[in-house]
Amino acid sequence: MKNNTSDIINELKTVSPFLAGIEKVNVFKVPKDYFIDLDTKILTSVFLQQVEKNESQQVPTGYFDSLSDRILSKIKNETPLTAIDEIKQISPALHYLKEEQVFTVPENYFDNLSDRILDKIHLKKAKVISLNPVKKVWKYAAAAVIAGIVTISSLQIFNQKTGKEKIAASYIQVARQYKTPQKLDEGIASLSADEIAKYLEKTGTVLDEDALVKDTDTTNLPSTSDYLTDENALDNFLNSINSKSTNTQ
Amino acid sequence: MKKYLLILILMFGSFSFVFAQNGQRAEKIQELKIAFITQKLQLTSAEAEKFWPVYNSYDNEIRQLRASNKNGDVLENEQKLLDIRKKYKPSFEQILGAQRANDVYNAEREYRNVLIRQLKEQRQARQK
Repeated sequence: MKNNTSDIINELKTVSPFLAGIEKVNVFKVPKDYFIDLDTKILTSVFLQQVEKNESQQVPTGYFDSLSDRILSKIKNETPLTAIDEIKQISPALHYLKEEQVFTVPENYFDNLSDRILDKIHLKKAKVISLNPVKKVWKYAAAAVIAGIVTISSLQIFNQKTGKEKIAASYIQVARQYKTPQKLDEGIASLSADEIAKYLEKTGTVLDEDALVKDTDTTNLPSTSDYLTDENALDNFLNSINSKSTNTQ
Repeated sequence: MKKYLLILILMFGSFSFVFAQNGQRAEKIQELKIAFITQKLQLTSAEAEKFWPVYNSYDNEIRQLRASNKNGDVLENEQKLLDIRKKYKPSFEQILGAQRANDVYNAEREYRNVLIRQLKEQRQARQK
């Protein structure tokens, strides 16, 4: 053990020379004779506290035994007040008012009261608006809507069925307007240059622009009736052009 | 009053709807084309009844193509045009026979030539 203490002191010296240098003194002090009779002092103080508590919460013996009876008998002994006395206590002013009926009603006032009131109100007859007409309108509206849908859809179906026939009929009718090649010629002659140009432009293909661009002598181009009367009009025309060009070459 | 109004409105609505469908009338130049093809193919009335609905849908298809592909690739459009014409050939053949089905396309081209001739004649007449 001695070795241990010296070791510890040595270590302390290296760690903190200041602490090691402090003298070993007890810094706490106790009053003189503090521990003599300490236990009795503590016990008496505890006892005194208990005694005080007991005294403050004491109840007379038998206090609760007949408590309810005593309260009830006290209430019973008190004489109850009449209504008048009570009013007298609460509001003396009301109490001293005369007990009289202040409102009077003429004799037989209530006998025909309702009739008299109704007589006074000159009842005008209000305009009677029944709910039926509104319903009827809606009925008609619904019927009209349904009828409309049915007619439209049936017409639609009808049109679809006869669509082909209609188209054919309209085409045939159109063709009938220009029945002969002469009439056709006249029709074509009546077309304006603008109209033709627009149509050719609108329906043109790359393949047949040549005829437009080339400055061929159009007077020799087959006419409408040439095409219609002679199956080989175009071929003949082309052949003639070819033979011409070969001749000139 | 309300109900009568409603019925009237509905009736007018349906009538205008129906009339709107019938309202298209072909241009004169288109009518002449129809007449030209009729005479060129020498269509009988029985043939015409079968032929024109088919031709109508053929023509519509071509018109739609022209309307939708105005600025498209030129050669591709030509190809599509050719596809449509090829597609309808069997239908035309069924109604008119092979030779006259061929003439349908010839007639179209010839009508164009007739128009071109007409146009040039008018121009030359103006120059003189």
